[in-house]
Amino acid sequence: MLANGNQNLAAAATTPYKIMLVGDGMVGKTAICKSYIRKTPYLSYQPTISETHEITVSIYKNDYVVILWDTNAGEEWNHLRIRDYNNTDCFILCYAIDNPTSLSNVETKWVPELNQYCPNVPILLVGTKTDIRTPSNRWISEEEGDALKVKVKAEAYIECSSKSIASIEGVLMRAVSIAEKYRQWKTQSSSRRLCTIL
Amino acid sequence: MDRKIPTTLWKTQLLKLVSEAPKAALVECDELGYQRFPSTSTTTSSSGDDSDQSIQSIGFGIGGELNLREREEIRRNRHHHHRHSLRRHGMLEEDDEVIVGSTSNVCSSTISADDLGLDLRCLRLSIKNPRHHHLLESSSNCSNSLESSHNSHSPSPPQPILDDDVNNDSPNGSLSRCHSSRSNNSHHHHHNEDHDELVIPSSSASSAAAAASITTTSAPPWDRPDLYLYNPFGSAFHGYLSHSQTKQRLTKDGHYLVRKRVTDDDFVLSVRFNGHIKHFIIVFDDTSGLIYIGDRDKGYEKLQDLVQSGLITLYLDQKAGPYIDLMCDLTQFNNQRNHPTFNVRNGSRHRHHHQTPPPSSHSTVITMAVNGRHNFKVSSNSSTISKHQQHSPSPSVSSLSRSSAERQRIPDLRAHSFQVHTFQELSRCQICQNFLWGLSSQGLLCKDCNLITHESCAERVITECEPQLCHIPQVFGTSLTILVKAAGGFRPPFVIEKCVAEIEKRGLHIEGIYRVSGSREQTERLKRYLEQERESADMSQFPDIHSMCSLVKLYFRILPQPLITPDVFQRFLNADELTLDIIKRDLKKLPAAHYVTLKYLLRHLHQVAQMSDRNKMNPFNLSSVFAPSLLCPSQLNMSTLKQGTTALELMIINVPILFPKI
Repeated sequence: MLANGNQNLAAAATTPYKIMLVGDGMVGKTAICKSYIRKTPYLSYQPTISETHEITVSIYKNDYVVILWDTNAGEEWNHLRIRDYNNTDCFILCYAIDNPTSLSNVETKWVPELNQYCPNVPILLVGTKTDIRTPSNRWISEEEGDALKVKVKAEAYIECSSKSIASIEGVLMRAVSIAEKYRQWKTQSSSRRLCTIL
Repeated sequence: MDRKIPTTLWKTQLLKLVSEAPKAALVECDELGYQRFPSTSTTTSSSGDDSDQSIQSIGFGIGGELNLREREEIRRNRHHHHRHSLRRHGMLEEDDEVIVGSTSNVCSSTISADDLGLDLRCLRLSIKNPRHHHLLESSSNCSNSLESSHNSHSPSPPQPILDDDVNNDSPNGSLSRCHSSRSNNSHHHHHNEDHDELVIPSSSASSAAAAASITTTSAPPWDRPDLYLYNPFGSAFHGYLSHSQTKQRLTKDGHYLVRKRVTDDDFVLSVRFNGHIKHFIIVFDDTSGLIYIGDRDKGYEKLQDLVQSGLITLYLDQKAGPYIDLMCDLTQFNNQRNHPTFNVRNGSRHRHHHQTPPPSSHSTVITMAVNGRHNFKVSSNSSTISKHQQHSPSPSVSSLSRSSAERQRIPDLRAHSFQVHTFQELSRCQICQNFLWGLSSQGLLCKDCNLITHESCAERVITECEPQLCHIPQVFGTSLTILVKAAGGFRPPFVIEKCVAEIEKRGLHIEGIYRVSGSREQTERLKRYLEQERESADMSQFPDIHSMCSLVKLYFRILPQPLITPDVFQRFLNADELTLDIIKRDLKKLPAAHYVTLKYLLRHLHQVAQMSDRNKMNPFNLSSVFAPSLLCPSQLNMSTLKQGTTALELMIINVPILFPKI
């Protein structure tokens, strides 16, 4: 049993996790990527077409290799983006807390799309741009994000700001742990299926 | 004089006449010898022997298939070429003479020379004889095909051919009879052993043929058109007949047959009508598979349809001729009849079917410019757009300033997109008010505005093609051309116009305009609203500007043809280096409606980009947001997208150069 688990871990370590950033335009998907890689806040304004980054995320001194897919959000990119969806281990679904439309599109557009093309793949819901929150103006609150997480059956809800590298690292660590769990579940369920057939 | 046309009264009567017209009835050729050649045919033989001469004149009938050009060549040049082509393929020696029965059906597929070689091998049953040219029935072929035609789809059994006696009119029902009739004249047929095997009753013919070294299993030649006696008319074709022979065979009104004249190589359709035999030269067009009467423009798929249509015309002419004449006299434009078939008087338009393939009813778009009465051009190629240098703008549009490039484009957008159409019921030409005669392909229908005309009247159409917006069932997903036409030809579709106007009013300074996704729900609602209210829509009641931007992108995305058409985009991709000149040149290749709309959109985007210090949408950002909506999705991948984005960025930056304002 134990040996079996180790084997799985070893196999998991060899294939990098595929984590995909999705969400409306201009919510800060590229900022999460680039800030994490450069370890400095990223403030460009160019729309992304599609980019991949290979990064290393360490959790409790374990290093995980992650391929981070930065996608373009627009509906006009659907046909290109959907091609990249397969074999994703975790989706980081972003909305900007200052943009109610991006929040509503999580429910009306993104979750249906992800469920359609990648059923069962876990979703990490992320509220971005928390740096604009002030005590007087909370914008979209954490409570609303949590409520949405429950509603769309996301794995977790987390907030971040690309101006705080720590929060970005938090997002990616969370995503990796979710992806790891998903991989384990996948191998387990496939072996279980095998047993029932036997 | 009473100028009123009693059209309603006559419609029922005309319909009655149509139903009363004699029915076309094919007189089938039931003779084996239908492919006989006229005895007057010149030959290369200097032999004084009559029968030898006739054999000579028979030449080669090869059941193989050459390509169309070769076949045409052979048809023109008769057997000299046959022999030549056979020799060219190395299948025959100098004195060999092969005569092979062939099918009466023509399949129009072409087969390469390799295939031909196989066929010829199949037919290599020739016998060398120093004195006599041996007549060789490919009886094996016939027997096989007779069997197969009983079992399968083969429409008519191929007819063994070539009784050498030209004047023998008796129908030869079987090969054995053929054989016996030849035996009667067999003084000049010296059969050696090989040949005796070949000229045998059909039952045992296939084995005999096998003995005669048929080495291939390729498709049998009797399924292929006969090279020599090219016959696309099947059993309707009676070979060479004289007038008197024709008269004997056509015993009732409506009977028809196809024959060849001795004097030339034309097919002649003979129809009996009202006790008289009428003769028409008919032409079969290989490429389109249509049959034409003489030099008329209208092709028929089936001979039966052609004859029936012609009989109706003749009958109407006989019974209601004065009325039709009156009607034609009274109509403003058309003082000639519009009978599509058999009308000898209508010869004003001329087309050579041999040289230019006639339009098929499905693909032809006749683009007609309508700016002046005499300024017209009919193009039979659907991809060409008639452009007109001379153009007198109508008062309603002359106030708009236009560049000279645009000036040339105008006719396209005011012109009708006529297509040959088959009307199910008796319809009227909206130009001359006369009926559209015939059973099929009676006239033209503008697919944009539903104008119905005769083909001949289409040249006289003076109204502009202005589809009514209220008649267009759906705005989103409808071709740009129709919507631009509906908008008068110089303006983009109203959806774009309305959205862009509202965005320019409210949204130019908004950060991330066109980049931020609009709410999907709002976008859908706006789309439904615009679809419903059309031009009376009030955009100010929609507060969400991003949804409007999303709608603009959506509109372009669901166009049946992308705004930058695939061929133009391909030109961009093919260009080594995208320069402004190339872009400018290639944009002119866009359909006029696309050009008008693209110009409008680019001018707008240019304006957006000028505010990029506030909305942060510089030309690069705008182009990468818009590129997938304006380009053809099937052409897009990561590398072509980059090219497309670059091209679009260049366009947005250089709008003042690309579309200078006058």
